[in-house]
Amino acid sequence: NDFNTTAENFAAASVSQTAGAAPEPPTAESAETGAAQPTSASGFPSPPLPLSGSLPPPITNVANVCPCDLLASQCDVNCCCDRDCEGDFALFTTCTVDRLIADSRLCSQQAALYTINTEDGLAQVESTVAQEINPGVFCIQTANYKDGLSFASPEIPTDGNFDSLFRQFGGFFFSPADGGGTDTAPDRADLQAASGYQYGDVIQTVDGARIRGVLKLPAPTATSQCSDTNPAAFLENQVTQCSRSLNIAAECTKLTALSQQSYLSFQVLSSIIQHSVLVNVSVSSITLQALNGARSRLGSADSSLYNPVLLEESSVCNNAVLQVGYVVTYSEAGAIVNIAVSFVLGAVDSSKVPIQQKFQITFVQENTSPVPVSGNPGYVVGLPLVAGWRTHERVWLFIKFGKRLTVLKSASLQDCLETAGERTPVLFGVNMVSGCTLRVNSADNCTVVSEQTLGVLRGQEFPQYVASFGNSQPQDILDWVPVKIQTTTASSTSCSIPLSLDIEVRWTKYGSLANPQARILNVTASISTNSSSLPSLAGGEGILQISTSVAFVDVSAPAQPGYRAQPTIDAKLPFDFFFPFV
Amino acid sequence: RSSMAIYEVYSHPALLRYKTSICTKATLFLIIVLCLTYISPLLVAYRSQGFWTKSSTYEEQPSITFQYQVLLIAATSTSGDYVAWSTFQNFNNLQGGNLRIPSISAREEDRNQDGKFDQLNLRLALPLRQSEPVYSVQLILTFSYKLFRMSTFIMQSMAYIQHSSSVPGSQLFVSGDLKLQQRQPLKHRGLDTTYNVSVINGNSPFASAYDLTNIIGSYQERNVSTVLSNPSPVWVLGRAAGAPFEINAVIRYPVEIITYPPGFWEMIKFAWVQYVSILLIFLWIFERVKIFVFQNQVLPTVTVPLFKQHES
Repeated sequence: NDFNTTAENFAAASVSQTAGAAPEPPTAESAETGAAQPTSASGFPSPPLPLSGSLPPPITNVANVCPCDLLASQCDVNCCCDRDCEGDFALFTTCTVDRLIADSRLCSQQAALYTINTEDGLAQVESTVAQEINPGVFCIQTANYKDGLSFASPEIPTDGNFDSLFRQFGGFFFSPADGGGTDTAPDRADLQAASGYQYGDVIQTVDGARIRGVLKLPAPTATSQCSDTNPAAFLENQVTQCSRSLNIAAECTKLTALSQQSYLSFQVLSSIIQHSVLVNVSVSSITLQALNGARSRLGSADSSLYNPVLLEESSVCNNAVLQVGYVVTYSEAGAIVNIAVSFVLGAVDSSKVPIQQKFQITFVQENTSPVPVSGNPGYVVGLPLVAGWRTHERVWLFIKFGKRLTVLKSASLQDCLETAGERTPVLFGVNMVSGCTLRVNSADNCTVVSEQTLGVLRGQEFPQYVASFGNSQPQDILDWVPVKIQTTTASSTSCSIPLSLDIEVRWTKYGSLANPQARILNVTASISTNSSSLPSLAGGEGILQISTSVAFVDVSAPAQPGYRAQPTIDAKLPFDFFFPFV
Repeated sequence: RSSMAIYEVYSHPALLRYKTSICTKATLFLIIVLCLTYISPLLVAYRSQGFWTKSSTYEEQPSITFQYQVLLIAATSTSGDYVAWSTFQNFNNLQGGNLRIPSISAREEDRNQDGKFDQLNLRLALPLRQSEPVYSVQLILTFSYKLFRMSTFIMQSMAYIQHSSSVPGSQLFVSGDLKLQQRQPLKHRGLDTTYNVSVINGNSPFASAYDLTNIIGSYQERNVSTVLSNPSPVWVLGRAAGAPFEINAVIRYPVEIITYPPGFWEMIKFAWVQYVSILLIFLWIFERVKIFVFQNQVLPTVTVPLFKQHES
């Protein structure tokens, strides 16, 4: 068992080193010898696979082992056992390996010791091989099972056992096949033989050059920049927003992501089978956005007229794609019937770069007109409040859908009057605060400012009703809660300007304890005006802070254990039963 | 007094017997004492807290293996340019021109040769052009995490390394421990593979699967996860032209203290130990009380004479 002794030598040497010099090489060498050792223990069923290289002769003697000898036929500095160093010992200051033993656990064993003597001013290496006694109580006197002191000899790979060895030891490694995966197509084949798309499938397309592709929905990956290769998934309604940096003068007409043609110049395969019907992408509407943000809707115009163009001495890129919305109509069998796209094309100048693009895909089933509700029946947290207005078209009160209860949206341009159009919907259960600033001069007409501010706070249409349930129907007038508007004015000031709109929604849990439904009981919008005079309120700068806030208050009584009433004894005795006593 | 020395040659305890009928004060007294002896230790042990051990801990070094899954994003300008790479083909397909393939070397060491890896040394060299200074690095490494001592717990976990600097760097050195984060105790037996799901779904072709917000968000939802604790990142400045950006990571796999709810028998065992140790005191006290009561005839009983004739 020569090899094993050698391996132990190395291990012990690396343990007993004083300086931590190169413990790696011995392990590497022992591993190499270990793998190549042809033991006869495992009786070969088939010849071993060809080995690379030849076996180094096993070293048995402790005196001949030298783990720090890393330079072949050249001296390793401070390696006292290196035989190439005979003339260089005078330069040594220490021995990196000063003691070599076979196994530190044995009671008595050969040990090679290397020391440096500097008696005559010149260093000299003294090497001795001595019998070393281990003073430990639990040392090994004789090892009756020599293999127990060394690593098990590895199984030699052969034609027969290669696969099982590979399965046992071939674990994780950098590999494109591992985790990279192609796609989920194989397991879906036996799932369903139908030809339609299924939830989460990519949508196949064919472009003008008859090249197959997939419907792309640019999305941010890694950073918020657009990645144009993100595929859209069937039946997954998505809204993605990503940024795109561009050089307007150079890339306005060249960048395909800015041209609406690249979002519709392909045909969609109605199903995943090879020769299915091709569906053209139709343009449902085009909205043009001016440089100042004003929008005008064109309807289904000829889209080819609106390709990106450079205007005004190459400083403005007109008709750049800002928003793309796909509406995909599908049939019950999962075939795509129709795909329509709507665009928002806008003018972009250098102040709007990097531009933000918004992409949306919505799936609608054929012959249905879904109406979104905010809960069924109770409101779901995070969905918008359903708001309504009263009209006199019918005998009963009819409440229109579609509009929402909104509050101000804080914008980068903090001026209230500039950003009046942008508002954000009130979501159920989400407390919010937002605001803007209003610059007033003392010379301003108070009533004008007051009306303007009120308009900013309430928005264009402030709803009169809010549905008490997420799915309240317009005809059920009892399901709608009127919005109470409270205005607190301070009489002391001559000029009162509304400063804040605070909406308080009181809601309660309704129904069973196991599945409580949120129901709105009361909505109060309180508008508070300034209590002191304007100049003192606005400070030196003349800037007023206007804010809106939304608070949801749970007014439901906490769930309490209820008990049935004690059973009463209903035993009727004859009225004269206790006659003499009563 | 005799001249011969007298010594105690032998002794034995004598048994005194007291007799009474069923419906007497002595019987009632005995029943009450019996109840007090055996029930009060239970109350004392319970009221002094910790009678039922509801949670306990044990130590184990997890067997962690690097899964050789890497996701790397490096910002190469202050205006949002970046390069990215991962071991997931689908992610790389989405990157387009931002894909930059680094060279990675990884080695897991088993330092004490107990069959479990103790640390991972990872070196990642990201080749960059001169015009691409690195301002921030986001790196995800995934691991296979296994515990065996109590319940067999298997999960796929990750280490998230993020560092950003206002000054471009040449190297990021990170050395930390991959610690277990428990929001709920592990089971005391059985097999738990609840979280043996990939941290990153590499089969998905969609960008949302590789969104760091989604990945970290869903990972942090886990009740048991790992975190790279105390990474003490070192950001080395000044990259030479043509030199790659280097990430050197040393991730140690330390011994963990794991919380678990003890099983039925373990709970009973510790409760029994507490109960009996208090019971012994109560037994001694009430034995004294009973001896006093019956010896002094506080309650009337019939004393059986010590040297009584054998009944015929």
